[in-house]
Amino acid sequence: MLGLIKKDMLIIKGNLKFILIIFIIYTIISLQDNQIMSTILPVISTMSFISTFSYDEYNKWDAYAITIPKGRENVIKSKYISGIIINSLALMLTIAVAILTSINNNNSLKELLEISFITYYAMLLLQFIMYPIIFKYGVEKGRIAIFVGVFSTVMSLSILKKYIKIPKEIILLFTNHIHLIFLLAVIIILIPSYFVTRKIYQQKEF
Amino acid sequence: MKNAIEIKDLVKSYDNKFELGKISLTIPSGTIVGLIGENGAGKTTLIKLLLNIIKKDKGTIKIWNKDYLQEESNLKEEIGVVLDNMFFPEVLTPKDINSIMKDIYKKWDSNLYKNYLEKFKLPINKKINTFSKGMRKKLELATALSHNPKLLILDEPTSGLDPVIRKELLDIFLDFIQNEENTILISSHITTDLETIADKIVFIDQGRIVLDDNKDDLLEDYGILKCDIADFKTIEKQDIISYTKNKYYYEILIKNKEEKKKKYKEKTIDKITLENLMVLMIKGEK
Repeated sequence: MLGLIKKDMLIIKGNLKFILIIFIIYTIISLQDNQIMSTILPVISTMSFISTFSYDEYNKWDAYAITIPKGRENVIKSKYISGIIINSLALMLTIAVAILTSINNNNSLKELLEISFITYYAMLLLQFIMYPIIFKYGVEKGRIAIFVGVFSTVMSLSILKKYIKIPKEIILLFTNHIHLIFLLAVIIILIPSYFVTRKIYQQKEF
Repeated sequence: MKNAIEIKDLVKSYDNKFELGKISLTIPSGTIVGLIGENGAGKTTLIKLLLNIIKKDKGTIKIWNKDYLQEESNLKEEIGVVLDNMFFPEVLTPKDINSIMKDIYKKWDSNLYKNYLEKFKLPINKKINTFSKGMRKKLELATALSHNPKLLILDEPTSGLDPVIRKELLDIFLDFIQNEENTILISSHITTDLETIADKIVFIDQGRIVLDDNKDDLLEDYGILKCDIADFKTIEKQDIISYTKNKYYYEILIKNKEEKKKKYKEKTIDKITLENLMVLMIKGEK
C-alpha cells in the first residue's frame, strides 16, 4: 500500500511549483493580516489531490492497479490515507503561517487556528463524500455531483433560515463546540464512506 | 507437463448481449499461447477475467492449480501484465515507477528494472507523456518483467509498433520463455508475430473458442485449396470448412492437408498462414 500512497504523492509533486507559488503568496498576504487566507492551503491541496483521480482515470490506472497484489483492497485504503496526509500537511503549514501572522500582527492565534481547523475538517468531509461518487461514476461526474450537492444544501439552508428561527442557545452551543462537532462529523462520514467506496471498488469492473 | 492456467466452463455476459463462453482452456507451463480473433471477439474479456478486472458469471479459473480468487494476491506476485492502454498516470517517470513498485511487489528487482530501461534506451527521469508509443510499450514490458514473474499476460503488446521494435519485443518474449517454468499468454492482431513465437494458438470468435491447437500442427494440418468456379463444384461439401469467392477463383479452407492433396491431385493446395485461417474462418462462407 505504501507504493500506492507514493504514487499519489509523486503525482502531486508534479504540481509542487504551483502549490509553492500559492504558498508564498498566501504567506505574504497572511502576514498582512488577512484571515480568509487561512482557508487557501487546505482548499488548494484538496483540489490537487482530487486531480490525482483525473490522472488515474485518463490512463485507466484503476484497471491496471487491479493486476497488482492486493490491488482492489489497497487502492481505496491508500486514497483515504493519502487524502488525510495531504490535508494534514496543508493544515500544518497553515498553522505555521497562523503563528507567524499572530506574532506579526498581535492577533488572536485562537481565531486563526479555528478557521484553519474548520477548513481542514470541511475539506476532509468534502473528500469523504466525493470518494464513493468518484469511484462509482468517475471524477467528472463526481465533481458535478459535489457542486450540485453543495449548491442545493446552501440554497436549502438559506431558504430554511428565512422561515425557521433557530434558538440562540443552539447557535451558541454549535459555535462553542464547533471543533468537536466537525471532528465528529468527519469520523461519522469517514466510516460509511470508506466501506461504501470499498464495496463499490470490490465490485467494479473495468 | 504442469498447467499454468486451467479454465473450465467460464461464462461472462454483458447487458448488451455479448457473451463469452462456455470457455474451457488449458495453458501448459513453459509455453507461449497466442490468442487470436477479430475485434470484439472476446480476447480482452478473457484476459480481464483472468486478472479479475471483470467478474466471471460462472466457471472456474485456476492458475498453477490454485483458485485465482482465493489465492489472488499471492498469484499476482507471480504475474506480469501488459494491458492495452492501461498503465500508470503519464505524469510519472520510469524512476517514479521503480520507487512505487518496490513497495508493491515483494520480488521487485530495481537493478533488473534499470537494466531493462538501459536495454530499451528509455530515459529514467522523463515523464511518460513525452514517450512515443513504442517507448511506452517497452516501459510497460520492463515494468511487467522486473518482479521476475512466472506468467506474462499480454494484451496486444505489439500493436501499433514498427517492425523493428516488434522484433525486439518478440526476442524478449523468447528470452523469457527460456526458463521452462515461465509461460506467456499473448493476444495479438498481428498473427505473423504469433507465427514467430507461439507454441499454441487459441482462436476466439464471437465469445467462443473455435480453435485450440499447437501452432505447428495447425499450420501443417490446414491448407487453402485454390480452384476456379467450375472445379469448385467438384469439391465434396464435407471437405469444405469455409470458402471465399474472388473474381477468378475460389479459396477453400480444408483440413487434413496431406490427405486432401492425394484426393485432389490436380488442384493447388497452399500452406496456410494464421491470418488466412482467421479470415477464412470468420468471413468465409460455409
